[in-house]
Amino acid sequence: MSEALRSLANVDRLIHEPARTIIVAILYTVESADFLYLQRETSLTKGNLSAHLSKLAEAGYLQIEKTYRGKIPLTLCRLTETGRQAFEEYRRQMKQFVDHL
Amino acid sequence: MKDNLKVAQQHAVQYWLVDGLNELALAGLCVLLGAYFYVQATLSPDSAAYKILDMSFVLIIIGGGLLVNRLVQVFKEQLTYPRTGFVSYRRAYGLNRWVRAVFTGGIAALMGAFLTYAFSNASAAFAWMPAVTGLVFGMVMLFIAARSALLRFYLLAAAAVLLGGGLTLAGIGNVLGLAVFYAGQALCLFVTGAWTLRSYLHDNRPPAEEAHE
Repeated sequence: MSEALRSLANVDRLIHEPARTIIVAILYTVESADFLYLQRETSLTKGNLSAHLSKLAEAGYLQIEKTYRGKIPLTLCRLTETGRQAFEEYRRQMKQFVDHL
Repeated sequence: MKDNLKVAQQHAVQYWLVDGLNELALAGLCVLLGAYFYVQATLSPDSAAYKILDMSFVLIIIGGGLLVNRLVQVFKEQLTYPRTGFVSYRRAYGLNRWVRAVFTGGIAALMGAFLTYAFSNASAAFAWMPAVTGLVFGMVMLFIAARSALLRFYLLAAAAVLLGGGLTLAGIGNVLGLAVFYAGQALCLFVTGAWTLRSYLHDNRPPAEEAHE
């Protein structure tokens, strides 16, 4: 198997799903973002977004915090250090794959 | 998909500026500074009022900056976060931290060089104050433009440099020139900020209104 295909075969399947890739990419850029922001940016339904966030949280890539800003409830999401490293590795693998094409 | 990722990440970087509130708040600070320099220009340099005003400049900058930050937060909580959500940003680290340090150092070096020149050639140097201020202002706007890829900040950078340089070339230097410069900057920032806020509110209705449709 060529180097390029080998790197694609080993890619993180959790991040490789398109909706989750965008969620992780957004959270990689910021400290934290709330549910409403992620929903608008990804155009996912509430249920769909919740499911993806739960999968990422179960894998330890994401931390979900239910808090308040004044009187307004907020569901804040932030990438853990594990999640950041996983995304960096994912980017490196994808870049390696694209470079070998 | 790579383009979607880039767009999503670029949106996240731009989000702090999406509503124009920062520009409106900065416009308010520029109005304050313009008024400050205008009052100073009308006073005699030997008067007690002039000296008091001179000594309070740093307090006005710090106090104004804190007030601007607070006002932006209050209005974002009322207008922006309920409509399009909340985002907080990481402190600069790694290469970004070095870029910011070099940029800040560059501005400090420019101001230091100017002040050194000013102390040895007072009257000539004061004539250049609007131009130097315009250059510094322009560099800050250019930095924001480069980070956010938002066209309006490139325009604000150009406006700052042109206004500052134009005032100096027109012979309107010194403190009065600064008053006119800050008034001009306030107008530019108000126009871009108000236009951006208007567009943002038009495109993003509060969730309660959308739910009733």
